[in-house]
Amino acid sequence: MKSLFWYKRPYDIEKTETQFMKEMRENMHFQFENCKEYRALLEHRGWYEERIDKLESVAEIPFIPTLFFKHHRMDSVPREKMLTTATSSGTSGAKSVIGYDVLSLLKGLGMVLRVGKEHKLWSLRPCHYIILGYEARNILGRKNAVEEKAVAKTAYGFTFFAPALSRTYALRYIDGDYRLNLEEIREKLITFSRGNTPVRIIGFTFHAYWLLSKMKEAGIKCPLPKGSLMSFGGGWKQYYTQRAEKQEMYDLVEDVLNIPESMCREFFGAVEHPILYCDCPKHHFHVPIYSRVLIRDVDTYEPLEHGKAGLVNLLTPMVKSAPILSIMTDDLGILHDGSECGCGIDTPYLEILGRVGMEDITTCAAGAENLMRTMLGEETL
Amino acid sequence: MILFEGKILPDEQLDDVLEKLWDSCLMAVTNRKDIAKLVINACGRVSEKIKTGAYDPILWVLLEKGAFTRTQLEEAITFFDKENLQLKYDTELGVLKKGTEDDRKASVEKRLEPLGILFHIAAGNAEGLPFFSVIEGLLAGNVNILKLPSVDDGISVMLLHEMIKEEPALAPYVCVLDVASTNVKILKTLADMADAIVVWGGDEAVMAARTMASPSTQIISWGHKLSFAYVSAGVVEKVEDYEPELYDLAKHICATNQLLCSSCQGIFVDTEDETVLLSVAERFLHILEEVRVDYPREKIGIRGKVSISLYNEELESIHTGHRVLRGKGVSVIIGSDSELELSYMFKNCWVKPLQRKNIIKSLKGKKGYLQTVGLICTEKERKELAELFVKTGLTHIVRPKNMSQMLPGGTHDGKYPLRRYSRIIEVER
Repeated sequence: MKSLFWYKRPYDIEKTETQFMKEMRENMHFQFENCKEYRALLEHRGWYEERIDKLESVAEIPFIPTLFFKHHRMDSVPREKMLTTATSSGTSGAKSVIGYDVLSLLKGLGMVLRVGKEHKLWSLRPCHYIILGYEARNILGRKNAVEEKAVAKTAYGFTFFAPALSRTYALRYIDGDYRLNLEEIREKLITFSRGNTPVRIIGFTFHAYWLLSKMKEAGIKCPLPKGSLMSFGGGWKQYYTQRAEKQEMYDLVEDVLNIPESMCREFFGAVEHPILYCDCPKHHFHVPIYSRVLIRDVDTYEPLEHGKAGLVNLLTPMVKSAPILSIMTDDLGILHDGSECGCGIDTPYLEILGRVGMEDITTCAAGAENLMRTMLGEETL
Repeated sequence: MILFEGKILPDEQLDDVLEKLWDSCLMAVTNRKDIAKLVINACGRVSEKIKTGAYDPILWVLLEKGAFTRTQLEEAITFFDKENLQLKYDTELGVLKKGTEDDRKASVEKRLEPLGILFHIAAGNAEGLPFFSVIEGLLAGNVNILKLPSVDDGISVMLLHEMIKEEPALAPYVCVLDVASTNVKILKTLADMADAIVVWGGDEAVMAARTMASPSTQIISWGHKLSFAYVSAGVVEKVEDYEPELYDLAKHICATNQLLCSSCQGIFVDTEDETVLLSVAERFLHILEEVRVDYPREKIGIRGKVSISLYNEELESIHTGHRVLRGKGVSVIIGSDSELELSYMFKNCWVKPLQRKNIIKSLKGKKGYLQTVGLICTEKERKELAELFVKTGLTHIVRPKNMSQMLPGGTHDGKYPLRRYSRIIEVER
């Protein structure tokens, strides 16, 4: 097999298992040899390079928490070879910066082609794009380019699934700053609803939710032409409370935009784990062949069986330029048996339960502190 | 839940209440009387009823939920006994209220008056804190608008409602609203009505209150504080003799989960010897582990958060030189700096060196954040060490078991709240 990332069937884990392990080992060797800091971290945890060849399960690979990347930029190729960098949209100030080299990006392209095909995202029919997110500034910025949020790039990337007639951004880059442009979005939606060209809307879940509820409140309805698509991703933040609200979102989309639930796609991914997770018709995130998910016990870090809640450890051999082969998110999640879904994809699917710590912690500061965050958030919007 | 003019109303009536609120406040201000006695009596009766179990059917749900224990409730409620509230009032306002003989003869009458209308934004970390905040506002004679914290269990509203039932004349002085923290528009409206905003919480909460308030509205903040324990040189020589104090400290850490301003975040040890630091840390880890068993286990979300933080701390140790000692459900991180900082909480503390000669230099920079030190020292060292800590800006210097103990008539972070909620007016006779 040439590479995992150009394999035809993105959910055929069985046939690609050996290749996945091979690429993981290769990646780990590469990180060990090319990223001093990663090597130091692993040696500190009792690892040495010879152990990599004896690796029997990916669970043995020490994970690095995303929290660590927020304070340390780790590169495994010289910075001049990085084609682009991605920055997480960190809410607490610290952000992860991950650099990508051309090879990693090519792998990503292979993945996007296959996953897009599987989830019927490709279309030759031209459409209008509405991006409820940041306007992309420089897509393949080199050395001196300003680093920008990964979501901007991801959203821009999606606008190639079907030929673009126009792109309208909710957050536009004007005079060195992002400004909210909802008025224009609303007008465009009204205009597009009168035409025949399909519209594809892409954006942060909570931006989409916010805009649509405002439109509903104001009694605005924009039934979009047949073939229109709503896609969203990027977490629910404070709005995140399970399926009930997801259903509310689908109802809202149908109600305001007349896009049926079957034309809604949700995406999941992270700067530290740039694998394209797209939901199945039953809205589950099945694990594609490029990735593995381990749910680890919150106290012992031991991998748990399917159906149990724990810390979400994501693994992939995709990226060479940074040691992100095994990262620990700060989410709690459950991995379910693929057979429980019934959509036809049989790989296990990941359910994110929410951020660790958030709901339960009430410190001296907590109650009123949320106020600030949301206030500032609203004002930036 | 809304409490307005003495009645509990459903949240759906929020708009209705908001419409009437300003007129109702103005009316209360116009008819204002000295209500301190009424408040003290009403609270006293509520407190008695709690002790005799009259409210058990209501409180049962909260007790069952584990929001607090019966003992904690009884301890807290003693605070609202008639005698204790009277003591608080006398300590804080008594002298000012009475005035001197000269004052009474002067051509200008000096008198203590409430600020007017207070808008309380209470934090949710301590059950019943919103109630407590309003009672203080009432004791000083103010009209009080309270925004409940998002995690409120309803006990504050219940207690305020019961108090008003005991003394209906207090009804116009209290309004409780359950407004979301995100509803900036309503919060600003409430802030505009108030003479002062009383805000409990961290820097961000205080800043949020500032952005809401017009320049003419006072901000009275009860900010986020940090507390710690100190092991003196005299104790270091014979730690085993001071195990009871270390057990007290461990119990305090487990009981408060390090969530309160007065909660111990870590232990400073008067030493520069790393082996001494390690031996204190190891000893304390075992004690903490032993004591923890008597307290409930944290929920999965908290354990996950702590777990990732500790793992990360281990990775960071390549740079920081910190050492993470892990126990079951507890941990002690040995640091080499003398920086006072927040721990990971939930029974995870730090141990750091801080020599006596560096105490002031090291802590002075933390001005505004210092609150309590739990002193573990020989009786010979106590007085001098206490004086040293006073000079850093700390306001409570106590033994470990009393770190979070609140005394009737005591201060909040070195200040008398009732005085902050009052002003002195001068009226020419």
